[in-house]
Amino acid sequence: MRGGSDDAHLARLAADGDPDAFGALVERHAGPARRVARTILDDPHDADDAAQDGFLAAWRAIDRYDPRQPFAPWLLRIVINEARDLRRRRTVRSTTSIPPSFEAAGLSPEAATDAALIGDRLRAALGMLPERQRMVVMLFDAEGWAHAEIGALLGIPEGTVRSDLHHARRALRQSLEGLWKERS
Amino acid sequence: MTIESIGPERDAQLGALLRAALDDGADAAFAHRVRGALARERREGTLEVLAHWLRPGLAAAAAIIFAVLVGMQLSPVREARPEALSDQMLAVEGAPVSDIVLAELVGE
Repeated sequence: MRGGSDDAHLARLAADGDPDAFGALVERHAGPARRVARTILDDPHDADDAAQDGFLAAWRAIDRYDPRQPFAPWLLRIVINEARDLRRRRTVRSTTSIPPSFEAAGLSPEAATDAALIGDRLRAALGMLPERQRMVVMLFDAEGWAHAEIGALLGIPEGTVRSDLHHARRALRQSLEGLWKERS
Repeated sequence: MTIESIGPERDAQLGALLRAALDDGADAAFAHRVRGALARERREGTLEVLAHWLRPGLAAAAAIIFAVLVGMQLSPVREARPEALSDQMLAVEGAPVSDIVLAELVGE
């Protein structure tokens, strides 16, 4: 996790009614919040709606945030709740694929195609995992959280975090290894 | 390109692949959208506060007006009466008392 003291300072300003300070927090945490919402909701538009609702809920509750605690877990807990609420409210909505950003990242067309293929495979593999395992592998490997932080966020023991991580990684690795074999 | 490590350490390669798989490169656009929603919510919040104040304010004003009107209706109406002679005598400073008494008797 990053930006602890800066986050706390911005959160204090936001609690005093400074919307620009909260806007800065939104910019800092947009990526993780959207990715976490996408581990819960298949549809990326739904995920963005949930992430946005999470940010707005955080703005309304910012005076209840304790600046001595890291901001990201507090925010992501709200986002996770919003995403779960939205998932409960949604009945059936067609899944929209996430537009690939690989070409925008400066990859050659061939590399972008490879990356898009890997992305499709990974998303499909993630979709097969239980939600908690998805969250654990995302937070640990993609977001850089510690086991204890993930355990605290999800309300599970550290040992369960490690176990979920092991199972999730194995499933994702198998999925990608299948792709390497197909291509070699 | 393979994913080698499934150990207790962070798997940077898998992490990068996961981020790439779930990113659409639109975080900035998303942040802009949230800022817009926040601005709308703040505006609506201000109007709601005003509306919140307005309703009880109007109700209180209406209650006060009603109470004043009711009070006016219920208060005893003072009957008009001709001024007594003694009042007139007090009211006309400097006039000789005899003149006033005479005027009263004559009926002017």
